Amino acid sequence: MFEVKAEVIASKKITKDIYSIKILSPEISENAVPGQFVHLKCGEDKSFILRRPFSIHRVDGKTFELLFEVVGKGTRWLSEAKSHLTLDILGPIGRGFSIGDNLKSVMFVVGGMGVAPLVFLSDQLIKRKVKLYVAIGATTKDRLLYFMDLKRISYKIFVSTDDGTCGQKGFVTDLLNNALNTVKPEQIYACGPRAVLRKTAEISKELKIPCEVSMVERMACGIGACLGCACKTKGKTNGDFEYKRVCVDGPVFDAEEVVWS
Amino acid sequence: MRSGLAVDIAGIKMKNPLMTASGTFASGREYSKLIDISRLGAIVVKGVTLKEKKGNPPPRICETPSGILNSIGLQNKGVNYFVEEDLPFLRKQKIPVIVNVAGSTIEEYLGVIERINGVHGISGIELNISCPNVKEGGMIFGSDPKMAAKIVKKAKSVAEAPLIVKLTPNVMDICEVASAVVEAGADALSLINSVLGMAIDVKTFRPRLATTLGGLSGPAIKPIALRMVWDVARTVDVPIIGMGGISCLEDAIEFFLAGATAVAVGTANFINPKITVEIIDGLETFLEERGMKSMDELIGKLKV
Ligand SMILES: Cc1cc2nc3c(=O)[nH]c(=O)nc-3n(C[C@H](O)[C@H](O)[C@H](O)COP(=O)(O)OP(=O)(O)OC[C@H]3O[C@@H](n4cnc5c(N)ncnc54)[C@H](O)[C@@H]3O)c2cc1C
Ligand SMILES: Cc1cc2nc3c(=O)[nH]c(=O)nc-3n(C[C@H](O)[C@H](O)[C@H](O)COP(=O)(O)O)c2cc1C
Ligand code: FES
Repeated sequence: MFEVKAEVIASKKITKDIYSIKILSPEISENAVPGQFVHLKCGEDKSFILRRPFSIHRVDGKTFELLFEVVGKGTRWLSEAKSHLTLDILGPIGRGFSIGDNLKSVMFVVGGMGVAPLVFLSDQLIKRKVKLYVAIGATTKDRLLYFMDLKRISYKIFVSTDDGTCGQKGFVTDLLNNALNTVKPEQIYACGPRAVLRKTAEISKELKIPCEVSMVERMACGIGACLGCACKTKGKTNGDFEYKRVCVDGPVFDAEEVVWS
Repeated sequence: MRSGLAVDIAGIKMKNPLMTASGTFASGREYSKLIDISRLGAIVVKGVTLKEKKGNPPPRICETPSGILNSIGLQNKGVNYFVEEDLPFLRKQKIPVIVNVAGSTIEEYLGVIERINGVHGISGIELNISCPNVKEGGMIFGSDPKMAAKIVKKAKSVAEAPLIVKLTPNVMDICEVASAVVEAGADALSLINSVLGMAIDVKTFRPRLATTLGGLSGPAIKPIALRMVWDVARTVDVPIIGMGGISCLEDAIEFFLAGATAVAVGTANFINPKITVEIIDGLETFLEERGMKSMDELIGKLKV
């Protein structure tokens, strides 16, 4: 992990309230693995605002990208960041997705902004010639981010929108059972709202497919010191539990390890 | 050794007056990846209890104007784990280590103290009778002067290392508690712990923290903390470690002027991991520029 002052190379509006930003940092770009995140200082020097966590969305040489939705004051500030602005960033942080050595086929389960880290992951899987299936869902058609790219690189793609403007009407997990009747991935990676992760964990357990989920929690330090970002996980003995840190023990967890209730 | 910055807290010799606030710095390992923690005056570790404590359910953190609410709930793996797994790393830093001791009964506090008595590498005890995030113990001991005095007296009778007592701001009269614990044998005082507070999500009508209430820290509490340090410094005659919202050199200097012998930085580490060493550097320059030879020329020198 590094603390860097890194320059914004480009920023772009993808659709309403969704932006991507490209940042120059050899330290972070060259050391990052898919699933890791950066902890970024938003706002001017003297303003009190905690750092905000963002998944590493894509890496290209010495640069990396973030993909984010404006939901509050931190992301609003970041959406206004122009080229040449210097950002204060901690990263890369956390446990990323694990990619088994002889992995042949995987399925992504994507809910909304959950696509952010999976694009980075897909780049690495494609390089390794792993067969990719995608189940993707969003509230509405315009929010199906990277849909065309994922469609192009995947073997088969399953789509849902909450309002039925594209694909099946409903949640992405509604179509998962059917999808897994037609394709048989060796591994599932899920990223999105907690409800999507939870349901995906249930289904993958039933079908005995290993599944990793990327968890989200409120963070303060982002480096493992404050214990603010607790995720309830199974303890060493049956029925016991332990709060692990999403920032450094995760954000990617084995779905079986998480206590969902 | 920067002798000009050196201070002494009840026999704990520190090369400078900058410490970490308990619970914001764990046992230093994480921050040591970003800063040279051996430069700190002392490190105060996360609250330690006799047995493992799981802590509160999430969400445990919420940002509020100029501050954060937390409800960690003293999550830690117990005193044995601390001594066996964390302390060896801390010893290597060659700086004073102060253990924040917590519990839900007097016996539990005493058990922790007995376990760390005589253990090499521990320079002091910070008795946490001020945690707002646990149902039993914590703040309950620290908000009643009689209770506070009782537990401090017992702790003092078993503790081999200097005993620092950490006070809660959630009381009518902090000076009354301060006097009571000093009379009972406290060698130094730390103040303040976080201020009890809450925040509500108006979209869901739910509290923003799973525990409803939490402890407020950060710049929002600085004026309260400063006032309390000022009041307590004029009331008792033991060294004070001041904390609450310190996020830059000027903030630290305010606490020294109000009467703090040392200061601790908590929440500000989350935003700027280098803040402690930046303040140490800044403080050295500050003294030099004014031709000040020691911290004594700053501590308690408020002009009124
Ligand atoms: C490991 C991790 C990776 C993330 N990756 C991305 C990403 O790639 N793209 C992206 O758009 N967002 C991502 N998030 C969420 C992002 O951190 C929050 O949206 C952001 O912190 C909101 O900041 P704000 O100041 O704009 O909002 P605030 O004003 O702080 O809050 C507005 C709303 O945002 C939500 N929120 C705030 N903080 C968090 C948080 N830490 N986690 C989740 N939700 C939060 C809350 O629901 C709140 O109501 C990630 C979160 C985590 C923990
Ligand atoms: C996340 C967090 C955890 C804390 N844990 C402890 C603790 O274990 N023991 C303790 O005495 N104080 C604890 N505190 C209180 C701090 O040590 C300090 O008294 C308070 O936060 C005020 O200082 P600050 O504004 O610089 O953070 C904690 C504070 C925070 C923010
Ligand atoms: S955010 Fe501090 S431990 Fe994870």
